[in-house]
Amino acid sequence: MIILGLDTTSKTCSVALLEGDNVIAEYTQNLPRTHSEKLMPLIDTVFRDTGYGPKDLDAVAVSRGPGSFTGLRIGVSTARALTQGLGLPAAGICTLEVLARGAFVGNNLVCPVLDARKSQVYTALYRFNKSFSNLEILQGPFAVSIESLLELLSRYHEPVVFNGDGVIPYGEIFKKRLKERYLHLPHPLSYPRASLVAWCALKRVEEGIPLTSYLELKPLYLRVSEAERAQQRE
Amino acid sequence: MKTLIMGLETSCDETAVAVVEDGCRILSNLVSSQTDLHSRYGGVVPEIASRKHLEMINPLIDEALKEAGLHYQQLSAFAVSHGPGLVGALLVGVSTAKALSYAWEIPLIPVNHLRGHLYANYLTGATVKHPYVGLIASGGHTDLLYSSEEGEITLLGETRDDAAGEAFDKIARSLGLGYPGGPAIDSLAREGDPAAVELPRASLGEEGRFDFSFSGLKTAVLNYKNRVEQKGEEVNLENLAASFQQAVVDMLVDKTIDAVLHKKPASLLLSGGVAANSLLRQQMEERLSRKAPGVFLLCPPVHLCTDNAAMLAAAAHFQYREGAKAPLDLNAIPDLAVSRTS
Ligand SMILES: [Zn+2]
Repeated sequence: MIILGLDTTSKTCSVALLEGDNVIAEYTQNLPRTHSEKLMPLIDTVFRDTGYGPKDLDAVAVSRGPGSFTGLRIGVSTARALTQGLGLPAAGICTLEVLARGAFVGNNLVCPVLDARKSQVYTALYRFNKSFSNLEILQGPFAVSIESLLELLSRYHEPVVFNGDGVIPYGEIFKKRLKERYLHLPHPLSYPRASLVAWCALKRVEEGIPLTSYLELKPLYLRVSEAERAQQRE
Repeated sequence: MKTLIMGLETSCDETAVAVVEDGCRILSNLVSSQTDLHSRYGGVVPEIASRKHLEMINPLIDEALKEAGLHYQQLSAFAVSHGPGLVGALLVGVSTAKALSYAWEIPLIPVNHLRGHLYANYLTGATVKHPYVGLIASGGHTDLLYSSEEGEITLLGETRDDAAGEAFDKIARSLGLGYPGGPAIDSLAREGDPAAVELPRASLGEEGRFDFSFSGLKTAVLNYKNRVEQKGEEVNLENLAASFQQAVVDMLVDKTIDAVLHKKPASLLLSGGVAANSLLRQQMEERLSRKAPGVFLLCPPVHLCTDNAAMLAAAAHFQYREGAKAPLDLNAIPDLAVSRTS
């Protein structure tokens, strides 16, 4: 099974080709060019370099959010159009699950955090149950204030592994409040990797969970637009 | 050989897909309007527009092919508007078009949305004679353009503040007429006297000879309304709507006719949502036949004046013949100038 994985939900743009659970190629850029400029050239490069072509694919997997609204729409629009054009199934994977997968260090709690601005993070709480493939979701995903997240974490008494770009603005606060329970991963383990996006889709297939059609592939925003928020507040 | 081009349009609040043959025959032309979604906010909310585009565009592509009775392999090229417009909205169309043209292995042609509006006139069956002066008046733009020959388009003048359609929307909102403002004011104005309220027509001097400004007019309308209400009287909405509409139409007609007299073109092309305004069409025709009787007036039907994808496919036809092809790193350009194709 050959799966193309895409992620454009944060500052990095990542593209990977997975055959079985073997990474054939994975390219990630963290450059100031926009995802719109980077994504298709990276996909094309992956195919050119590996000798595989779009027609060899069995599925396309994409991080569907949460993350930058514009960024995740570029990824989801691209995945929708590729699967529509190639007649393939699609898989929309939660960005937080992708990050959590990258934080496997054993039997631990994982709390990926993405900066959602307005003093909030997009987050979810996961636990690995003894193995990499056994990831359990305990809370979320949701957009919450830092205080609410800390309040939620105070109900647990074990170490928590943090990753994601939300660590940059809020890491110090987490550390101060959680003390030695706070474990943080460096940047190379803190961005969503396209190979893990594709791997999550592979796992679905192996577990017999059906993939979706391009029409059902939807972004995960976790938040309404500003205009709707303002109207709800009124 | 026939050229079959599929166009995608997502620059504002219409998701549109069309298939056009040889740049002039419409095989399918689908428009999914989001007006209802935005009406409660009194204007287009970019984030809501982008979300809706993403939802609508793929099923519309399937439907447009089906309605045209085509298989994708018969398509010669894709066309997408990559600017000007709302960046988040444009990106849905650009990302979709790039990925689909890659999967289907057909070239993608980037089309300037404003140029697209002019090419709506190529879909009416009439022959477009160069050189021409073009007026695009819509919710997003008010531009006077000049085209000496096919593909050569330069800007003569543009609005310095609001677009004409935007002025209609803002006035309609403050008069409590709802959104979109154009049709609301157009129908109310039919019952009113266009000379009832004296309103200013902006003159921008020699340097701004072909530029527009609607902000002074907007302020004058609001001041008038406040003055009347402060006196405890009721505003005659029909008269105010009629007078406002007349002022906008006068400014558009005056500048356009001035440009025609200055450039001496073979034809005058109208387009954009405001070109659907009945008074504008009527008075432009009248004035043109009086001042420049030899100039041929072209104006597309209403559904081709407002945003659609057939106009993009028509514009792309000429670029396709010249071998235009978008690179894989094509980006959305929210402020793309009309003089540029990419
Ligand atoms: Zn337009």
